[in-house]
Amino acid sequence: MFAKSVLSTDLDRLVAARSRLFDCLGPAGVVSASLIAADFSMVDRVANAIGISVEPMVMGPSEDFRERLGINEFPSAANTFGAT
Amino acid sequence: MSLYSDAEYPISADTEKLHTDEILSYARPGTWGTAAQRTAIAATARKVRSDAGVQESIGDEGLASKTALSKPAQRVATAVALGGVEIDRTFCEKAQADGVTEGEYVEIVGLVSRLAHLDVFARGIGVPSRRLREPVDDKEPSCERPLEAKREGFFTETIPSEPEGGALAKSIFGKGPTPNILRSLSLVPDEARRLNAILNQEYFSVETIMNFDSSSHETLSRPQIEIIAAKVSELNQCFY
Repeated sequence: MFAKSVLSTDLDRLVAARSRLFDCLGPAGVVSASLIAADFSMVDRVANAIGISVEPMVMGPSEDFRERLGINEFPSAANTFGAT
Repeated sequence: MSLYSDAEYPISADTEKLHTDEILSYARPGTWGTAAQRTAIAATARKVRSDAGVQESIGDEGLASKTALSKPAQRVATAVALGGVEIDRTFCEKAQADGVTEGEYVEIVGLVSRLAHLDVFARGIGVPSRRLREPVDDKEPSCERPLEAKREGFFTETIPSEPEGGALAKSIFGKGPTPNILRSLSLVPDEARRLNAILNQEYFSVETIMNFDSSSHETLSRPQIEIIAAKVSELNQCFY
């Protein structure tokens, strides 16, 4: 819930999610979760904009859940499927 | 006064130091952009994200209009600021055909992505985005393109892992095979170094990432870290 809220337009929802996270993991947990959400906000932008492909060693083990979760339909999937 | 002195949560000295240096990096000359251009790119990205409602304005968007940016450069900054979901090879090639050099493109991607990192963190801990600095140096960018860079199937050239990438690859990534994400910005080595420094400190290093029993955060287990990462990447529709 927190990861979704921190990227959303709904500030009230973010405040509620942060409060729940604080109750579960304490103040350091809020900081750590925010750092990870921030890191992947950066990584995702770089990966999408540079068009990097997923390494072959990762493709096999992720095959079942990629299909099931619709990840293969992301526009950036073409950067990997087009490259292999 | 420390960067996050207004935060209700405990921010480590290492995070304060890294993020303070990040904020300053936008106001300094880069490899391809002047300090004024980089400040304007950062402010443009802020404005785009504020206008989209995914972060709250702190009123520093005016820095975007202090330096004239080309329309193609603004388009790249805008697309990356919003997640880069719609960016494909055609977009990248058009940006270059419209006058954004390959090095400039990579530098804008790195700069805007790193700013999103800072702004999402600030939002996560419930403080306003940290204010952008005025440009601090009028030195001309070096515009140095590494000779080791080559086509590897991505939208832009990158430096191969060591040993093919030579001493430069070793100085940026370390020895041996390096994941594509850590090499993605390597056409602009300073951007790659900054991306890697952030991930080394806040996520995992190349040496620790495959140790699934370890966690880089005392309060989060490895599965909890990866669930947050996966959810964010789903929202950004990032296949990687």
